[in-house]
Amino acid sequence: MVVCKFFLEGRCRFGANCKNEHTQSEKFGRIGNAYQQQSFNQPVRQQYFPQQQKLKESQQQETNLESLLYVVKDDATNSMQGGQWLFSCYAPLLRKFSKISFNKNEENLPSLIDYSAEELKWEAMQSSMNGQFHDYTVKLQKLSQSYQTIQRALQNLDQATSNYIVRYERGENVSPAGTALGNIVSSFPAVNTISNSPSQFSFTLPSTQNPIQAPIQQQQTAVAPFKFQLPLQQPAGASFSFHLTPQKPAAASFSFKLPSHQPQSLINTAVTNEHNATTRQIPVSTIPLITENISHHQLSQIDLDQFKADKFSFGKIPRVPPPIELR
Amino acid sequence: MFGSTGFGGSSFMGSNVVTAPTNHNPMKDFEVVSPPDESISCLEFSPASIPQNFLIAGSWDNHDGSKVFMAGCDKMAKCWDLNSNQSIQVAAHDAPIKTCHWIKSHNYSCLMTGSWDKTLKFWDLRQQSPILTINLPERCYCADVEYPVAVVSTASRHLLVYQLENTPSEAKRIESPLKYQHRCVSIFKDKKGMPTGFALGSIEGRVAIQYITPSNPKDNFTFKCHRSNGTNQQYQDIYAVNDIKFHPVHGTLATAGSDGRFSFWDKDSRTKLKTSEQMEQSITACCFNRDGQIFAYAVSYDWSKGHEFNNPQKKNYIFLHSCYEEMKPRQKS
Repeated sequence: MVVCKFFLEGRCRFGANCKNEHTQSEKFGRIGNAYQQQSFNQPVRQQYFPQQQKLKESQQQETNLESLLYVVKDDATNSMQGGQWLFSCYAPLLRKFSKISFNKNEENLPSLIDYSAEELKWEAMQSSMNGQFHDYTVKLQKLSQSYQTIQRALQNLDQATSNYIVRYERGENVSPAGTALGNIVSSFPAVNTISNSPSQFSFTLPSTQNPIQAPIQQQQTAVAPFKFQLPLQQPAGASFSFHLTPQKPAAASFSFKLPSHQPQSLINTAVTNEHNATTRQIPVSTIPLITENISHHQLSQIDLDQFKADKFSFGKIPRVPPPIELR
Repeated sequence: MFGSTGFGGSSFMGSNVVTAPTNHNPMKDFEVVSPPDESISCLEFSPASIPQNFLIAGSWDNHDGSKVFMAGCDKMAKCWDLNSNQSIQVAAHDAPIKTCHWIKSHNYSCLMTGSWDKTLKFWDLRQQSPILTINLPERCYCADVEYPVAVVSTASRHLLVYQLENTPSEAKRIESPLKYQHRCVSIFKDKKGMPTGFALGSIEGRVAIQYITPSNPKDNFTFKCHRSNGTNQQYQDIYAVNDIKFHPVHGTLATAGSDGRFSFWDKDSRTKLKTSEQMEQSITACCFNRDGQIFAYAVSYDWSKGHEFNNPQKKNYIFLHSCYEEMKPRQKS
């Protein structure tokens, strides 16, 4: 049985009729049935009277919508913490499972438009082919920030956003202006708007309207397959990470081990190098390290004697490696 | 595109270190020689009419296995005749084509293509224009065909079911059982071999089993998959489900994840049968051969972390896994 969140907060409207569990709080000891509707800081609520049955359904809707906000917060937190694909639509409440009456608003919240991984990859490839890869990364960065802003707003749920979501799910014709959901997410390519004006497309329309000719036997031309090569210098600033910022890898704690949460198999060399740069610096001896082979002719007499001796004398240890002949 | 009967490739034995998967073949499966350089977007085995197992990245003409259809971002679909080794264009859209399926009906055969231009088109290969165009509410993301049913899913979580007898028409729209972007869909059949429902995967590491006309609403359910425990123990890492396929004999299903693992499931007993080791990259596509002996899966980058994690130096793989025993359903106790 699910424990009733509202009872724990002292504000369950249904009291003994609640379908969730009203477990007794240890803090207040055993309390009898009559007091179940009472919390420590709320006035005693009315008993459930039959004439209130009409109100029951609307009250259930209210309760469902309040608990909806918990769900929205949970979803946003889990997806951000879990590194989930960012560019996805989101339906906070699946209407088929709710008892709420017919709602004309779309299930999906506004502003969050679906972009699939393939679409973004296609945009990247095209931009690269057109020599506009940097523009693509800048646009993508902006898009990524818009989505992250919305997700954070869903996690934190200020008053304006909460009110908007509740009213939206009630089916009200309500505007998201003033909430994070009201900022129009800059549409990426014109993928989601089916318009025939070429200027809005980032990929070109076919040159003729009837591209299929009568089936002509065409020789398969041996064209080298297009290999998507990124420009060697990747712009440093335009990165998007699906995890919550700030994301500090474990390198900050000066350990030689790679942080285990990093996607080992997906790291490219650029990321790995960056990590290595932050590992602990080994204190380097100030004595310059000589590594060339020195012949015994170049050694001072003292050093030569030291190498020939059975063991080094303290204070006279040579600062150069022994010549090959004496190794 | 390629066809290969060779089972080759040495199995690289990595050390037993627990950190990064240095072993590119942790399941010690057969490795297909000469895999594509680019990410593999779909796999299909040849139909039963061909005695040998040929594997291609595209779609087969189910009828006699002599033709292969390929569709892609050049907004065209092509038919590649394997006998003559020639390909011709057979379809066109205004935007990249995401899905292509061959439909064989009593009175017609055609190619169904779904595109990001928000249309579903049906092509008789002998004609220039589509014999039918259906407008979709949004960009086509995934589709599956099991005659006489086709299921198409689009952006914004739309789910459409079509019946394909006589002429394709929309049968119903189903409210999505998932809250996030849909990514893959696969139709399953009942004991009599009639398509009766489908499995739907999303970017949120979740699969929904949905009956087209459920006798009991509780028959439909969802389950989480391709999640892992992050270092932050409170939250799981969430990976997209890239592909779902049903075993042709047992009716159990396989899911391929962005986490680089595949899993086998029994939807009737609602149990997990197996999860694989982690591959070096995500698994982008998978399929079964016609008799259900071989499970093929492709390891390549699915762009789930954007361009920064694209490493063209990384090799792609296609592995063949012997799966008949592992995919047997669990007995309901």
